[in-house]
Amino acid sequence: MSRPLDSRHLNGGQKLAVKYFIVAVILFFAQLVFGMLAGVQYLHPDFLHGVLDFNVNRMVHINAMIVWMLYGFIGSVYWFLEEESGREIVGLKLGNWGFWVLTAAVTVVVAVYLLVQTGPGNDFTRWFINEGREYIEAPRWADIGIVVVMLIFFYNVAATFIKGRWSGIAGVLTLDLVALAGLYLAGMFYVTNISIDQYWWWWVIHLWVEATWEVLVGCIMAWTLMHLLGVRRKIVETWLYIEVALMFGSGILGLGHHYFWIGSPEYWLAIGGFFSALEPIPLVAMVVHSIYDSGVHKLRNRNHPALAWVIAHAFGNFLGAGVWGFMHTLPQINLYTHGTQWTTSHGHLAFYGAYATINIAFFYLAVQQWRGNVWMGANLVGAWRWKWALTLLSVGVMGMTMALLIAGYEQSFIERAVGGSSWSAYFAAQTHPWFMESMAWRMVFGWITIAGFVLLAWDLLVIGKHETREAETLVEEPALVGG
Amino acid sequence: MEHTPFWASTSFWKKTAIWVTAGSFLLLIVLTFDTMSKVTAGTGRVPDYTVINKRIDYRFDDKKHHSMPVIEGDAPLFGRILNEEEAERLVTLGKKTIQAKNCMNCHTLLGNGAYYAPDLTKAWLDPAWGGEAVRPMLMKMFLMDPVANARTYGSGRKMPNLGITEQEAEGIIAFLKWMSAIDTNGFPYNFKTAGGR
Amino acid sequence: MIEPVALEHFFFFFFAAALVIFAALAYALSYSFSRLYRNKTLLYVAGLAYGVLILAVFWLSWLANLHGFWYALVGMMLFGYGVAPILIWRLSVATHD
Repeated sequence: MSRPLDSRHLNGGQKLAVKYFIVAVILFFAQLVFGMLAGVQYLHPDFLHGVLDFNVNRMVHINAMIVWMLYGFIGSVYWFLEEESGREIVGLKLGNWGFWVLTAAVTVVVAVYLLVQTGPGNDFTRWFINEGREYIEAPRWADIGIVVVMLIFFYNVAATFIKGRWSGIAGVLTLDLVALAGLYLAGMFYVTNISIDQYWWWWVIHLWVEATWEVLVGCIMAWTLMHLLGVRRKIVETWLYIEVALMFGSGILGLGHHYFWIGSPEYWLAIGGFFSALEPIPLVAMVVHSIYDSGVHKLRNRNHPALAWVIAHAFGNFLGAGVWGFMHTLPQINLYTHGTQWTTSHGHLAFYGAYATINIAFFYLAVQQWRGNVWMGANLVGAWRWKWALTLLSVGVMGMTMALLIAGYEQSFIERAVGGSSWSAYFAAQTHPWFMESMAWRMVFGWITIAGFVLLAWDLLVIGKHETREAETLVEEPALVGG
Repeated sequence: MEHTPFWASTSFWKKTAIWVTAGSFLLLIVLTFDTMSKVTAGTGRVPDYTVINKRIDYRFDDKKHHSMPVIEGDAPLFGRILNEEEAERLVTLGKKTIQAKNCMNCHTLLGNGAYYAPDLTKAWLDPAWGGEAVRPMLMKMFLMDPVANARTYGSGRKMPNLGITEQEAEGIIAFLKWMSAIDTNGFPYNFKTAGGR
Repeated sequence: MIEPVALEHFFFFFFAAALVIFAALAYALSYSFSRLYRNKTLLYVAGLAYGVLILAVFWLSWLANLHGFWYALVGMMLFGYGVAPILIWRLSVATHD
């Protein structure tokens, strides 16, 4: 007997969420493929030269990442919106329309990236081909489209909560979405002065990734913990506020660590340095709290793969954002590491740990429901698949991170500290055996990551298919007496 | 059990979250205004666009303990002295071309971008491009046909032909020259210019 | 404003920076588990981890030439990483009651 994926198990928001998740997984794969193409070019520079050059591959690599993660977040919010608000989504039709518009726009943008690639140095290119600013390369017409779809999304969320039940999660989420959409506007104008350009560009990049995205994930996590572990709402909401205070308190002015070398005044060295040194504290706080929590729950839960990915999130975030971030963020060292493979090393682990893991955890929650609330606890049929997917993806990303760390160390030492940052010093570092070997190892671990992805995608399609048991009902946690 | 202390209550942390966020953001706005006033072209840290008419160098400053851009004497680019408006127009063409050709996904500018090709922050001053007499011509030839004029330093990495016109190439070079005069707090470290110390 | 890390201190700086965060983690872990299991030995381990954290922070501050007002950063790290686990534990207990 097998259980099919059946949309009758889903409410309106969840049906829309599933669409977002499917595109997210496809874009996740695109991220890996184009990352591999760019990685090969480090070892074989003639590979696809003049056809798909490094800048195109790298652009699709990082854009696919940003967009699949956003798709995952948006999907997750649509997923829990009806349950959290206690009513049907207001304007769901519009939301569905928004999904198709956004997906069509993403497709056109990527097609233009791949087929047209670049244009003449005029305004037309920036409006219709490529804006040429890292992470927000999408041409201006697409920017406007993205903002329109974000407004639809915001309308769905805010109107549903207003007409339904307004909770603490609703409040934080609504305000965070305002900030998220508002910040995007900071990246939507042209300026010749590159110091001003990069100042505002970091508003979008940093205040998304190190502030509003984190809070968005905090909202998704808060709902997940209630759903997965049965944590009481009051506790979850208090901790959501604590997290907002810690994340925004250290993250907003942590923006300063991007303003060391772009022409901004010297006081940013101090501001950036101070807040960067404090940014790991929220992570330490989360460790303490999760140990307390695990003591309360003994990690009883109804979805083992999802919880395993949440734990991977805790470790990955701590290592990627905490350790890797702090190692190169003080200006005294960042002077050498800024703009080297150090950033790449940190970026790979931090994005994986902070965001990829949490999206994957949510995919598992969604699939469980989609298959009619199937058992995903102990002795799950075919559990080897999710375990190996988790292992291979984590080993793959960690391996790439270590390889890039060695490359980054070598580069900052030979190119910057010794060589004096000239072009010949740059190439001396890039052709150094340590560098080349690191790049070769990065490819090896890249293949491991791909293998992990293939298993993950397969598992998401079939997990629970041959399972006959229903998921256990969730018991709300008892209060810990004494303590 | 019955009474949670105020410092552990939901409402306390709700207020704290709001105040911390609002306070940080307000501070950021104040700092943004101040920074904008200091990075506007021609106000000190970021030079006026007519700096492309001048000779630019990058030297160690004993008082600041790091290298600083030094602007001295005339050195017109492509043999023309440009007025303010012309200079800004040329640098703007360069900036738009740099965005249109997606330079930032191979190179870094002010250290931001991708790491497949050299940093462009002080590219104008790099010893690899020779003395000021030949530098603009060499750069122009390179930009207009980077495959034929490839400089791979044994890495095998070649910039692709991006269809850069002569005007666009001049714009890019003007932009690079202007950018090399930005005070970047000593980044990149220990950089030695062609003519400098 | 800053005095960059010297060439010969390069490797050690990365090591010290990672050590600071790992020591903070070890301290947070051992402290929380000592509370969770009411285990005295783990509390000593926590003290030891904090000792390592202090040494790592001072080592880091020496390697990164943190003079003058950068001393405040050293103090803030010692204080922040020191009290955060204790406060967060108390907060956990109080919010779950």
